[in-house]
Amino acid sequence: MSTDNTIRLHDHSPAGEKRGNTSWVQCAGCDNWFHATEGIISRANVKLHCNHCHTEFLPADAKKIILA
Amino acid sequence: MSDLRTFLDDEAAHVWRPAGEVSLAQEITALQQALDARQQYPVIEITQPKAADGSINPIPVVCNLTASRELTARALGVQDHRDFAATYAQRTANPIAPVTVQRDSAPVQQLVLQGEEASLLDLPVLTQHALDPGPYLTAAHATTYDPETGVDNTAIQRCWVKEPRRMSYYPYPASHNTRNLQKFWTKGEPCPVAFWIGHHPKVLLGTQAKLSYPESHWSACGGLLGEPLRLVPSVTHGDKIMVPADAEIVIEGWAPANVWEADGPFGEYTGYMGAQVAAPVCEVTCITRREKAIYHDYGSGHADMLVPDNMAMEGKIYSMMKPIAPSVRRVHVPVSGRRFHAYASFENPGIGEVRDALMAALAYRRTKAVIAVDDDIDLFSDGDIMFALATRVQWERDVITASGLQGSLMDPSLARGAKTVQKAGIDATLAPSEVLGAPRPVAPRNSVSTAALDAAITRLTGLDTTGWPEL
Repeated sequence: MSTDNTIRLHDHSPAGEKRGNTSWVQCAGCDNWFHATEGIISRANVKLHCNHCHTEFLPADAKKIILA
Repeated sequence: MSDLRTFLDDEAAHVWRPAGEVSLAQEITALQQALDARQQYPVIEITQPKAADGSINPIPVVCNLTASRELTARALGVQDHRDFAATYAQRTANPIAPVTVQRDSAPVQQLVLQGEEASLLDLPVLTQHALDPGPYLTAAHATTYDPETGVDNTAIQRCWVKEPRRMSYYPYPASHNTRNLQKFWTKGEPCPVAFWIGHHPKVLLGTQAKLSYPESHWSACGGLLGEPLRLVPSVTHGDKIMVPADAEIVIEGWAPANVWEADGPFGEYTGYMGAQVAAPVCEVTCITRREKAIYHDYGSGHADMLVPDNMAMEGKIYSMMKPIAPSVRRVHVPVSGRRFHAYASFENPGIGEVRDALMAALAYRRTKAVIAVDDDIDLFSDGDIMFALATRVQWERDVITASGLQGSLMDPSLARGAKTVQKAGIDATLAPSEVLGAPRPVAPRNSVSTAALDAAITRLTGLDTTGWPEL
């Protein structure tokens, strides 16, 4: 998995603030976002499927990935 | 000028007048209970209220006046009841001082009945519940004053009619009327008091404004009216106790010093029978009323009484939250939670903002649990609130609890001997976005397209669905 397109959110919440648990992928084709598990995002050779434009692409080619 | 009659005229299409006689003993309240179960809230006017001796009282009874949020909001000029909290907070924060009118301009003093002529038994007072010990005034607004400052206070107080000129009444121990009473009694003096019944919902909700002590409600009423409330000196107490000139009925008297009598059990707002308590009494000196008075009754524990009080609470909670949490949008105190629960919605709150707001609302004596949600949740749907609780809360992380706070001693769940309550604030909002321009790190909700939903609604419109299975 490429890291230059990925932001990993901090787990640390020193004051117990609410943190989300969902990872998001920005489509390489249409720029829309869809959510996916870290389990599939971390499989570098499994193509992700955009539910907006149906483009398939590898995680490394995602425009951006937010890992929660 | 607004009074009970102008409201009934404005909402004439929503007033139901059952045909024939209806007993003052439970039958009117039973109508309210049956309508509550159907979630239908017309104003009810009983034109032939039947007394215990079988006679028909010539004074009609109006109830469910404020059972509908829609009607109550509209009475204050608020077209969408969901926006009531902000409007109420704004108007009560901009008070308008009352004016005094001459007695001959005060409809409530068209008839002045004193001495033997004054009889509580001539009023169509309801015995609402099976376990109530007798007939109770439930829409009697008790006005007293602070002998140190002269500032008046008004609050609804239940009153058990015991004799033609004697009734017990129950000012809640923490109430401002109790403070005034104790100040007179400490000096060994009787406490002057006047109870007035029947007015426009704007005035009724003005008296529900949650104020500091000592602070008069008359100006809050004016803020809601948009003009000065018309007052007239009471017959017994003169300008020491003013009463609304456009009310329907006024009962004047004195609470003799340190005289206590049994009051209750009484069916309370909690939905349970409030225990018998020691209460002061009012020795009646005078009853004034309109020539063709209308008697107003609040169905205790029903939407009729909960809705207006809860809507006033919404304004109070909104005004407590807004200065520290600008993202708060709406507040709802639901009938399902009696007066204990409040829901508040927030639009993109900042980090910590929701919990700050929860802490502020929990400081209000009446709240027991406050639930914060995002503005995609319908505050007026308990189902939506449960959805938020089910899917947006981890209990240890998202619940603030506090003990030893002021609250209702009528809460049936209180610990034995407790004089304070435990409270909870629940943050049922979604986690905020952490990356500019990226979605919140939470799952999106299931949905269909607006076009598809509109088409579905159109397809169902006008369809006869009688007999279709329910959930």
